[in-house]
Amino acid sequence: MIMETERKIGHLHPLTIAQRDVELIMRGLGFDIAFGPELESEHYNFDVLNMPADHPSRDMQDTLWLKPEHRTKEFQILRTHLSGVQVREMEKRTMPTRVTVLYGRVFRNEATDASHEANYYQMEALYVDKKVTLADLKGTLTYFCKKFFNDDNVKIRFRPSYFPFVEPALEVDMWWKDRWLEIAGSGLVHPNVLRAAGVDPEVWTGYAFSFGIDRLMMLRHGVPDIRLSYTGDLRFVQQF
Amino acid sequence: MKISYKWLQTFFEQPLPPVDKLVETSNFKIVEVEGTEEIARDTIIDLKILADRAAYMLSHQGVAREFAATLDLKLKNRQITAVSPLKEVLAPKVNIDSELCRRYTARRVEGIRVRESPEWLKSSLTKLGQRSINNIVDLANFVMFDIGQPLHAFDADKVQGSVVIRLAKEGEIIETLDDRRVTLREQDLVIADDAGPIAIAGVKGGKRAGVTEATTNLLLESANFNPSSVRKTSTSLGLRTDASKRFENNLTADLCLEALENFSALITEAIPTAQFSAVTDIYPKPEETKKILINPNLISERLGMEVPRGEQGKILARMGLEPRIVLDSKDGLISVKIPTYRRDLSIPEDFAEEIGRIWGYDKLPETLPAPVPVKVNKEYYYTEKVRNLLRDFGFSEVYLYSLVSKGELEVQLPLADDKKCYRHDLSEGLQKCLTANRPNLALLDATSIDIFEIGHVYEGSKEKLKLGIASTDNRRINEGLASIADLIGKAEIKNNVRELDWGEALDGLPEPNSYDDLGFELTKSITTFKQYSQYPFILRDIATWLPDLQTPPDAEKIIKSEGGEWLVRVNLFDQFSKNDKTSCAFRLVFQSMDRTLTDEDVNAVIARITKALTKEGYIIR
Repeated sequence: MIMETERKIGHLHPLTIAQRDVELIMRGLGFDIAFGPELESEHYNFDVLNMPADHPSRDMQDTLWLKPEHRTKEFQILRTHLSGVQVREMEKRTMPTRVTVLYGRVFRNEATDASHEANYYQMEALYVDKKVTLADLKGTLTYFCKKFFNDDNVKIRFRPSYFPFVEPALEVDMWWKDRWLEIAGSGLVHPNVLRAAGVDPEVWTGYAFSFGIDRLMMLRHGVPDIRLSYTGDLRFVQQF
Repeated sequence: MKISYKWLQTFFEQPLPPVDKLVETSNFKIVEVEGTEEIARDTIIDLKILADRAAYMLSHQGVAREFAATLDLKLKNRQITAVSPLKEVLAPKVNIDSELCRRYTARRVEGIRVRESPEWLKSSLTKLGQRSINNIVDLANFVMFDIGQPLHAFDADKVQGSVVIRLAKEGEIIETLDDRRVTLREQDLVIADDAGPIAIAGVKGGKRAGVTEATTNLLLESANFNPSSVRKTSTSLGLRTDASKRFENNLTADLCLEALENFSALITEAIPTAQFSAVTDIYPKPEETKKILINPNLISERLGMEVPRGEQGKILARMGLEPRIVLDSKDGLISVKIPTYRRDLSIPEDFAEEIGRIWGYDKLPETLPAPVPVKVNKEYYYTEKVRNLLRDFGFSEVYLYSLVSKGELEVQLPLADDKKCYRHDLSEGLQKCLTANRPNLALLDATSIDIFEIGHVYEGSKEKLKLGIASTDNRRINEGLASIADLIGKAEIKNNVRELDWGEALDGLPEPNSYDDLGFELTKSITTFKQYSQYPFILRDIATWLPDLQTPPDAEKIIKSEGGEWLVRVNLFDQFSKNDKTSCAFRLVFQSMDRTLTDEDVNAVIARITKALTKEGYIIR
């Protein structure tokens, strides 16, 4: 008699599990979800984000452009970040608003190694209201990291940085398991970005931050190589 | 940008704090430090200067100003003694023929000798990773690393007629100092003489009028060019230079004269017999210093912490912005003068950053916005629902690459041949994924590979969200599909994969009211990833009669304890009873983390297991 194999439950990808956690944490703070296209326009990826053409700020990202003959009016590049979705959402919504951009696959034209992939995932959060402050941003980031890593000892610190779409711009480090880790980029939404999205910067202010989902997931589970996620190998997926 | 600690010291009266203090200050108040290196009793600090501060921080002076502001250090007055020009040496004739040249200063120098640089100069540059070329070129570079202005020296005797800054003629050719023949386009700005281009403006000098060992007379250039023009030219020619990097970041044109005088003074020091002409300075539209009003309350409001107005004033003063309190203003406004080199300061938020970082972001309190209810997102709701259903039905989720070798949407300059196109389906990837996983069936303790992916593809001139379901066993796909039938309707399978337009399926579904039935909970127990072996595995079966005992010792436990580190899985796959005797059959999977196992390796382990089982009364069949 051959034993009837019991049907086993399958496994969700750890990046899905991480993104569900992100959504749940942000939902607790009143953030809705938004999605956006992977094939993005120069307009939403750069122009509305205070990154004019022929400006050195565009060098910060190794952009993957489509071949000129494959570009259309709607898209010309593979998105390098989700900040364009923030603008798309502000255009659609009335203020105040809170939004988490999820399942955000982004692309970079750089050599791959254990910590770099041609495609990977980000999340972005946007909060627009009257008198949003850096203290709000810091409080939110601390709350987020404590929840995500299920550890109340997590601490957050800021370092000055530059992202054209926020001002002030901040790198975020997290104190976790006895070390500081670079974990996110953030800042107050630049008035030019609000203006480009049709939001009056004299009335509204906002913060925005972005985490690499792969990095969050890898830190949490001790995954040593970003590429493991995209191999399709079930020996990887079935561990989660 | 590499900075020498000793060089930096020349900007200050007082001794600088130790290197580690500078590094910490920079990281938390200025810019990120990428590393430090001890070279020749000096320390080189490598700073990551991003585009906002690159207009003024790509020099020791710019960095010195930042440390002065953050550490409250006094900057030294480094005024140099300007050389005295001679009437007999004629100032160069220059004509600016394009607005892209914002300023051009030049002077003629006679009686120089080109030779090896003195030791101090060589060492100053080589410590920064620069090659020493000769005394003249090295002094020009020294001034650039000192105060940020790129300079150029031509051999004056090889310049024919007068100098003009103009757009290139389409197809005009220049041979650059590094022996490249470059074909110019009409949007490229050049420095030319009567015979043609002698330099690509702000990017690279030309060979024809280049300085050689035989040069005795120089034409010195200190100029400023339109940032995006320099950027376009350097990008299209693939020529990124120390000069182009500075110009494309909008260097102030106010620096030209100071740099030319510094360069001249250094030449005189090195070659006391050198004779200088007066300076030709063409500056059609001088830059103006901006005055800005700052509202200290607004700064504190943006930061979310109170920085007293007096403290804000002190910080602004240390930054060299000459703050003045505006009398009679209701908000206690502060007026500041923005030096032309500070391109990054124009709106209140810019000052929130300056005051925030120097006052200290570590002083920020933490506040949380009060929660509000959220709107349920339909796409998210159903996508997560379908994920749950498929998972519960035994399907595992994969994330595969968007960039593949074939497709209708091609990217420009792909990094690799297999990443040329944006994917047009999920099926191809899923198919490969089945093939790749199939050999591991035993290792996965599965009878079929059952997978799915939800992802974006480009198909029929549109970006679509698709759901792909695949299995090595077609019956499993049908069963999987049945489990989500009320979400997607009927489906057809091709080659072990079924792919459907999930975005379209969503359109037909009712609006959800809440996420509650998804049963989400925050991940609390966090599994640690275990590396799996890259080497092949070996399968062995052991079938045995159970000993005739009331409670026979656990066979699986015995097998595991004897199996050693190579035994990665034990699976009871067959069990039956005959004449009061019970048989059990186990499938054993062996694999090593660091090599391919041989039959002999595994035979030895099997022998150990057999012996142990036999000892406990098992009879191996």
